[in-house]
Amino acid sequence: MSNNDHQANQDLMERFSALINSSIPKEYKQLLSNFQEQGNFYTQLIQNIEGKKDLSSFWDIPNTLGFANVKGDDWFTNFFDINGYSTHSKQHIENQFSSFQKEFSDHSQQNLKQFHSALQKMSELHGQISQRAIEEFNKLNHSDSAPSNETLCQYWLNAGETAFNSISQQPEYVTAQRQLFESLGKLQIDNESFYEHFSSLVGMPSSQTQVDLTKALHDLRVEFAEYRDRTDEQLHALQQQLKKRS
Amino acid sequence: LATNTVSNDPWQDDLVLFMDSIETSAQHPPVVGITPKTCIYKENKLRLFRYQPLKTKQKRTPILLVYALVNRPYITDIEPDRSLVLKLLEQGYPVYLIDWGYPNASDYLTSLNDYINGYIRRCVSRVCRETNVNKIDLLGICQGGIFSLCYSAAHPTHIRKLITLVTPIDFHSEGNILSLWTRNIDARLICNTKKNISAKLINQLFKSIKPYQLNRDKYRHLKKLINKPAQLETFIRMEQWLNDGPDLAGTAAFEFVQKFYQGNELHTGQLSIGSHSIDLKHIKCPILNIYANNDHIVPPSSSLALKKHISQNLYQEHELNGGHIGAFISSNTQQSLIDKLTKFLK
Repeated sequence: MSNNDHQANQDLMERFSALINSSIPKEYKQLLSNFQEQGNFYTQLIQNIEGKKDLSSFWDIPNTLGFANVKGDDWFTNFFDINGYSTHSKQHIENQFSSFQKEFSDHSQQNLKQFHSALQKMSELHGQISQRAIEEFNKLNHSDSAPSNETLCQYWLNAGETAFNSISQQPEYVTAQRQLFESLGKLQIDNESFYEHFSSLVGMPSSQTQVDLTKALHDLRVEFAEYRDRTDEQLHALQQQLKKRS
Repeated sequence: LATNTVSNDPWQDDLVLFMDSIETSAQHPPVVGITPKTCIYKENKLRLFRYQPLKTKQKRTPILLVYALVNRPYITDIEPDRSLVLKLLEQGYPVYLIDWGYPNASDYLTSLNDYINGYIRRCVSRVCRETNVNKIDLLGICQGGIFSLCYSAAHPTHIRKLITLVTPIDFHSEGNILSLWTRNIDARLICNTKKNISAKLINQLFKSIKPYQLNRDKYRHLKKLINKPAQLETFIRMEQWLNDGPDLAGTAAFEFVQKFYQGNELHTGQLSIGSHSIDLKHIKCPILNIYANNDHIVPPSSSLALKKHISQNLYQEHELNGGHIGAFISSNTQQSLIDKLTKFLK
């Protein structure tokens, strides 16, 4: 990169940062940020294709697509983001577990092992998707003598979706994904048990108390809505009768 | 400005153009759902809206729009050029819409029975009273279509005509990848019935059906919109809508996975909601079933299974070109959709 190019790049980044920190609506900031991120992705993809470098990471689902790399909105955090907990908590889910790991029962450790095992299996399958995608991509690329950058990006997409479509519907993938989600569900239950235990130590209401209160509130809401509906119905009928008489 | 970038990187040129566009036009957040409306009923988080009629000859029978619990119902009025609501108002229909709101921690016990035999029933009664009619028309979209079918089967008295739009019936039909992924899962572990389900998780689940396309590729197409402010605004509105999903009430989510995705109970005739046994054969009103031929969430085969349950003389179907959402908001399909709706609702 020449000095001029380097300066231009720096100017661009400064302008980008200025816009991101400006008072434009957040929706536009998000879009700009996504656009820039995706641009980097495609630019790097094209550069690796031109440099004949390994492409497997470009189809790596956990690290590049909607799992671990979308502004921290990874599957694992979101699984635990119930009732907005994660939004209000600054502690990452891994830390929640690791900091209290000593307190975990054998049962919890077993669930953690199952989770890691399921995660490993999913990683293997994601590796297979990447591998299949590279094969698909090479097939498409070799059938075209001089593809444009736009065409190469389209080939990337087609290769990825074809590979994902074939592997994600196989019993092995379905089972691995099920085991991953179920193990996360078990960890979530462990998490709740732990906090239940913890809250009892500091004199907080038990989860059963909270369930009872929520149920009572729910029943009350329904009862009131029904009462209001019946009353409105009766009032409406009376109004109609009065109208007829007058 | 475009000449001020690294010469061999076309994406950077586009980034410059995009920044130019944003600096000049993006002074206000995109507005959604601007068709004037009045809230006529509130119940917990639910709001029932009546849209302001246009100065056109009014039809007698009101139409109530029932959207899914996943995502927000303002997609039906995302912007004037793509507003299903506005198109119906232009035809003189009194239009009502149920907005389920954003469930919070106090709502995790809300069940399918509460939604269908509670909320919808009370909203239908309210619309009937407000308009002084005994029967209204119901238009259910996606999961809202299922709710509308269940309601119409359990409470047929107040429904004149029913429209289902991109609505799944057979959850075990070919190509239903979400069903394949969830069929043997322990639903109680996944849908914690003591909590709500995160909207972000649901959003990611839907995006993972086509992970490369739905996570990344749409931004490649954005390049084509940089010099088209109106289309760029549409894109931003859609992004806003996609990222604005409400959490799902834990109990209803669990029941939905168990009864529909896993048990396929609506299609097999084994469904009960609360004290009501739901048999689609109990629906006695005409039904228009509209499906999208490129729907990756609800495959056409899943929607078309409705025909097996409804008397031939009551059933009509209509195919739209497009995907799950594009089918009813795309300017290419809306005319076909509204023509069909108008004809059916006569």
